Amino acid sequence: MAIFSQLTVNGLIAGSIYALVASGFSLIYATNTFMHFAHGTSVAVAAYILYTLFTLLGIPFYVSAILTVFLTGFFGVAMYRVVYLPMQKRKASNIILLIASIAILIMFENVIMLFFDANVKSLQYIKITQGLNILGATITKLQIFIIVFVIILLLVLYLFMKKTKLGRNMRAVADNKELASIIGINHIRISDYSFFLGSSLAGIAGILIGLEQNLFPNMGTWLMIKGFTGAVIGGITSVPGAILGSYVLGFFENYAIWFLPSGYKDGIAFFLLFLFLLFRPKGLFGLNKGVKE
Amino acid sequence: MKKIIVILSVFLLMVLGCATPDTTTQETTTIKVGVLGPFSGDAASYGESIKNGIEVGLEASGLDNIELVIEDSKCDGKEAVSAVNKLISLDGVQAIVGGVCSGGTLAAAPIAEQNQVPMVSPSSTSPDITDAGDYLFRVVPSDAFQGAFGAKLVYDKGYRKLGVLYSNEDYGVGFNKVLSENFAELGGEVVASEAHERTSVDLRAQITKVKEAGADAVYIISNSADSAVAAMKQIKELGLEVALFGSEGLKGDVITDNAGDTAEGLFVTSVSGGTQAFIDAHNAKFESNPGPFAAQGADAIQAIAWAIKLGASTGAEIKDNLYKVEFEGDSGSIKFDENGDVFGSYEVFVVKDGAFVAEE
Repeated sequence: MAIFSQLTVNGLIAGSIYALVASGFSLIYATNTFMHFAHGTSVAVAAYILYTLFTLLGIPFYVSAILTVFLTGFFGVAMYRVVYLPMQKRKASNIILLIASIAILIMFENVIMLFFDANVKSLQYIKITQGLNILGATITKLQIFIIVFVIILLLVLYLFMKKTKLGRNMRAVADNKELASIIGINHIRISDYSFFLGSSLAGIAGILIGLEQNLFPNMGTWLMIKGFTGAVIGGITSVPGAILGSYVLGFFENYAIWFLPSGYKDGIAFFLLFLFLLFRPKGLFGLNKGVKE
Repeated sequence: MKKIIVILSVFLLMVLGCATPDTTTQETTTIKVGVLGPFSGDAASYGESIKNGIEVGLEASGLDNIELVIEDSKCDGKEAVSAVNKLISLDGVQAIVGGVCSGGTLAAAPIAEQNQVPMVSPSSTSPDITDAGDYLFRVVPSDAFQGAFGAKLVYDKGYRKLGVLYSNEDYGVGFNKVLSENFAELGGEVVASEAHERTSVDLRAQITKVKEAGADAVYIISNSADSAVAAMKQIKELGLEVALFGSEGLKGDVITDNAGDTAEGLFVTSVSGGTQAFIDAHNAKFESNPGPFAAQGADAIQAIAWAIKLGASTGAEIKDNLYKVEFEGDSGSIKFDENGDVFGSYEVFVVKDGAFVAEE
């Protein structure tokens, strides 16, 4: 029993971390319909911004955290304006944009290394202690916070996409850019918003993951792979779906380890991705065509 | 027509470019030595530390006709293969210091052997390297020794139920095998042996299994600081009250700085951190203490320098002379056996108040 609850908790923690990355990625995908893999960069950049502001400059944590979220949002808009938009204006296909996004991902990994060196860094904000004991499983306060935060995020994003005007406009742009333009929606403005919001989510992810797992230059790549897998499982076109898919991935990985040698952990994740791509490419909650949620 | 001329001239230049290394090495006495190691990616801290050691060693060797060419292998087999190809074909190196990670070294070794370029690794400890060809040397002892040493250390400290967390690649798999066999031979029991991806920072599933198995000591075999720090943090969070042991990859300020209290009491088996003279020279040059394998980096380049001093200038000659080299290095006595291995000794360090101190 203790084992089962610990594995469940482990799955919840892993799923929440993947969901933090997947939600922003999926939000940007939902409007722009191309794979913004450089979203992983935003998470890493956020963690290092926080490290600079809080750990190096000594600015109070909450001020640093709020600044980090805003700066990461603008970093996302800058990527859109400097890289993607000029390419879109030249009629670049979504494949070209995907390649550009991978280029950004690799480039910033090295830029971070240039400024901060390759060593692991820690934010030194929370003292590491033994977790609380709940039903035989141990979990730290930070981890509980992350899980609760992600569940609230799931609800907020669902309501945002469904009920707000901006959310509806985003879905309209995703559905048909030209048609949305005709009825007076500025699709570039909407993309700005989606990059700002999606990257701000990456900012929050960077803060929480930085606290939970420390910082290293290629953290973005690693997180993007898992976040993307979660998003595909849940349905990449649906933001709440991406979050739920991340939990499916987290649970599946952790439960499967109990029966299989632990060296297969990442293999299991990609096996699941492979199954979904083969048999249910739209994911658990995605729709066949277009973007509706 | 213009295009054809341009293409032709580029082609011609490439042909000439390929032919030049041989003639230049004969005209001048400069000998190019490649440095193959991770300079990006999560193992880059080892690459940097070794590179600094190499520079200290090169100065100490007194030779001024060695030119270093640095190439990034990212601690990865594929990358190591392209890096070693570039070093040999494009840069025309006659010898290589490297690789750093066992996986990359084992992947690069056949290519170096085919091109008759000897490799001297400062840090690849996988037992498989012993049989990986005539052109592969190392100044660091094989994990066949360290695994046995580590097993005895755990046993002597009075622990009988060992859990192992090892990274799932040549280095971790080789180390784990030797460690587990030796610990069982001594009369202890390896209750759990869990692999993780080399760079993974989520080891909760593995640690949960170790906890369930009732281990009283955990051995962390890792050459990724990110992963090792995460392992110690999660061991504490999951409430395992165990003694911690670590492979030499865990000995570095990066571990104590980031793992904080969780590393307190960690025992690390380590190859030599360098003689006092080396530590002083390193401090004078870089204003910092040598990192992991820096002293071995210095010894690797000095072994090559000795081979050159004995009259070698081509890769094959350097290889032949390396088997004759014998000197007191910065990390201990260096004399290669017929497999290109050295017999080394280990030191035990323990983390006290956030710093590594030598265990008596």
